[in-house]
Amino acid sequence: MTKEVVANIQYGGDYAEKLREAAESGECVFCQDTFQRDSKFFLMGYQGWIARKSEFPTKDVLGGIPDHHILIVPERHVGSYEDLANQDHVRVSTIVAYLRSRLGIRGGGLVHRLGHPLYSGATVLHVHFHFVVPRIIEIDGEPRAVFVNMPIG
Amino acid sequence: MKKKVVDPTYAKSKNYSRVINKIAEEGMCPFCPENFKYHKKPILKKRTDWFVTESTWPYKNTRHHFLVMTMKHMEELSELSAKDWESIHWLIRWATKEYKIRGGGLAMRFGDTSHTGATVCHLHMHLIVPELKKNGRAKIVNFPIG
Repeated sequence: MTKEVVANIQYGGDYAEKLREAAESGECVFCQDTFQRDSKFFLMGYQGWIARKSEFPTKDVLGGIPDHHILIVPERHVGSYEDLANQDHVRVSTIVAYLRSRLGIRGGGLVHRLGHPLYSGATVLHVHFHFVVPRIIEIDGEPRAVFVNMPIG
Repeated sequence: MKKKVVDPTYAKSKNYSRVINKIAEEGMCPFCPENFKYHKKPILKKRTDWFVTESTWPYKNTRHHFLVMTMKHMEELSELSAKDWESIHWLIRWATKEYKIRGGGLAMRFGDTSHTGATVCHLHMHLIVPELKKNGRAKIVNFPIG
């Protein structure tokens, strides 16, 4: 029996095909070198974690792409939020701070789905954080962020 | 000049907008203990400087919408130490057990509020637990960033 590495394929959208392949092979998408080191998307590595641009960024409410949708992922397979050490969260925070400085990010949000995928809506069952930075447009001469709805459930 | 403690721009309901505008006029952080009068929900559990409470304005489709926050005024994720994370995890584990939470999401906004959609600058995390549909699957809760 292959281990469960993905769930909620119906929420996969553009990456549903990849999820189906992973479900069949039982190989975790995020454990693969092709995911972790793909130079087209790779941003940085830090103490056993990587940051990578999402291949399938969540669209904002106007149908556009946010300025950044970055996945922050442990290199080792971690299946549950409970298995993260406190120091792992400090590493995630350090990565966020570094990327903000490097990419000139003034603010954003971090989302993590936890628990059973039936209730969290997670698709890839390897712990990951979504770091999302909305794009800014001008409305009546004022800069406004175009919000991105990150679904939970 | 008053320090920016809230940003009414992205308040998600009229009632919430009224409260946030009033707080903006006062210029006092509503999540700091000395001004904690606007939040009417009880503190459910404490751990060191951190505590968990319910959101006064839960998002649509939530069964539970908790806020995890600290009594120290912080605005940036990078200010959190391993000790802070220990307290945060402890509270999340407590809530998970106490409310029999089987899954959901943990979300936060940080940085310039004009880029994040946050209304209160004081760092806080949302522990979101969706309502279930009749078929036992979760309804989708949208956490807006921006």
